[in-house]
Amino acid sequence: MRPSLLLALLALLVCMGTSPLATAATYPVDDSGSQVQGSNNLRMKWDDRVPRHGARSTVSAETLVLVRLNLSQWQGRQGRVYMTLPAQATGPITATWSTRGRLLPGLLRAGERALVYAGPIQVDTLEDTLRLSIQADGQRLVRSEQLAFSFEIDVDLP
Amino acid sequence: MNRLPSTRYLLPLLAMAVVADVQAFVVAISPAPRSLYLRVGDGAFSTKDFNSGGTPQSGGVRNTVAVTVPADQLLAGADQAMTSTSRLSSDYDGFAFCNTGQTYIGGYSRSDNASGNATVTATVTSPLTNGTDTIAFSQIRWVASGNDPAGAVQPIGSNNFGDTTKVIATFQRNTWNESCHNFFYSNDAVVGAGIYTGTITYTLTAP
Repeated sequence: MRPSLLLALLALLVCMGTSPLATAATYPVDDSGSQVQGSNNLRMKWDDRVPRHGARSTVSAETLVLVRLNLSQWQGRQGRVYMTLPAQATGPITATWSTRGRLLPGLLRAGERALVYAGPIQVDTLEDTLRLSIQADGQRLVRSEQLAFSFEIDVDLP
Repeated sequence: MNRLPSTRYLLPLLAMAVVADVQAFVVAISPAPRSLYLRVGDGAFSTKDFNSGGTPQSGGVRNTVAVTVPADQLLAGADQAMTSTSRLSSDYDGFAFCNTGQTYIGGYSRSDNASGNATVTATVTSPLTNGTDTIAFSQIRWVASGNDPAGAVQPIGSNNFGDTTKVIATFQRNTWNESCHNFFYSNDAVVGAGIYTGTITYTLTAP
C-alpha cells in the first residue's frame, strides 16, 4: 500500500471515531420495521397513588413494542446490539422492559445505552416484542415529551 | 501519483451514510393528572381511607365554631376558647388526629409544576355580624396541633384570620398536609349583646 493511501485511510478512520487498533465498530441499526403496538402516547400515572410524606414523585406507564432489527448487512459476524435513548430535558427517564426471549430484558437510562443482544448475527431480521415501562420525574414532566428510541450495533471486526 | 481510496474502502462509508438516517421508534409520554383536595371540618371522603383505596369527595357540611362569652369576661378581655363540631379523624389513614373541640384541616396538592406550591387562603365571605353590630374576623385566632407525631411542625400553623382574605398556609407538593385548629375569640373589645355569625371560606390554590 502506498504511504499516501495509508495516511488517507488513517484520517478517515479517525473521522469515523475509531482506530485501526479497535476490535469492533459501531453502526446504527435499521429498526424502521419496529412498531409501537400499544398506545404510543402514554398518559403517565403517579407511582405512589396516595400523596404522603416521603412519597415518590415518579410517574410511570407501559406499552408494547414490536422490535424488528434489520441486521442483514452483518449476518455471519459477531456483534452486540444496544438500545439507546437520548438524554431528556425533563430530567431522568428510565425505561425497563421484558421480552419474549429473543432479545435481552433490561434497563435503560436516558443518555445511555443498554445491551439487548450479544452473539452471532444469524438472521436478517431480529424480532421480539418488548413490554416497555417508562418512568419519569412527575414534578419535571410538565408537557408531552417524545422519546426516540433507537438501536446500534458493535460489530467485531473480522 | 496520488489516488483516491479505492471503491473497496469507500463502500462501508457509503453504507454508514445510508443507515445513519434510520427511524427510531417513538413513544410520547404525557404528564400525570394534577389533583388537589382540601378538607376543613367534616369534609367528604369515600367510605375507605385514602391509603386503603378511598377517594376524596366534594361536599360536606359547614361546621360551626362557637363560644359563649360569660358576662364576667366581657371586660376582663381574656381570650375565649371556642369549640368545634368537626369530625376528628384523618381521611389519610383514619387516625384520630384531632381532639374534641378542634377543627380538622388537611389535604394535598399533586402537581407536575416543580416551581410552585399550593396555598391555602381563608376569605371572609360574610362578616361576623349581629344586626348592625360587627366583630372583626381578625379577632379569631387559632393554635395548631396534631396527635401524631407529637411536636411536629404544623403545615397549617397557628395564625389568625384577616378582616378580608389571608393566605394561611403553603402546602408541600405530593404530601398529605394536616393540622388541628383550636380557635379562640380574642375578646379585645366590648360589643353589643347578641349572637354574631359569619362565614369563612377556605380555598386551596395550585399554580
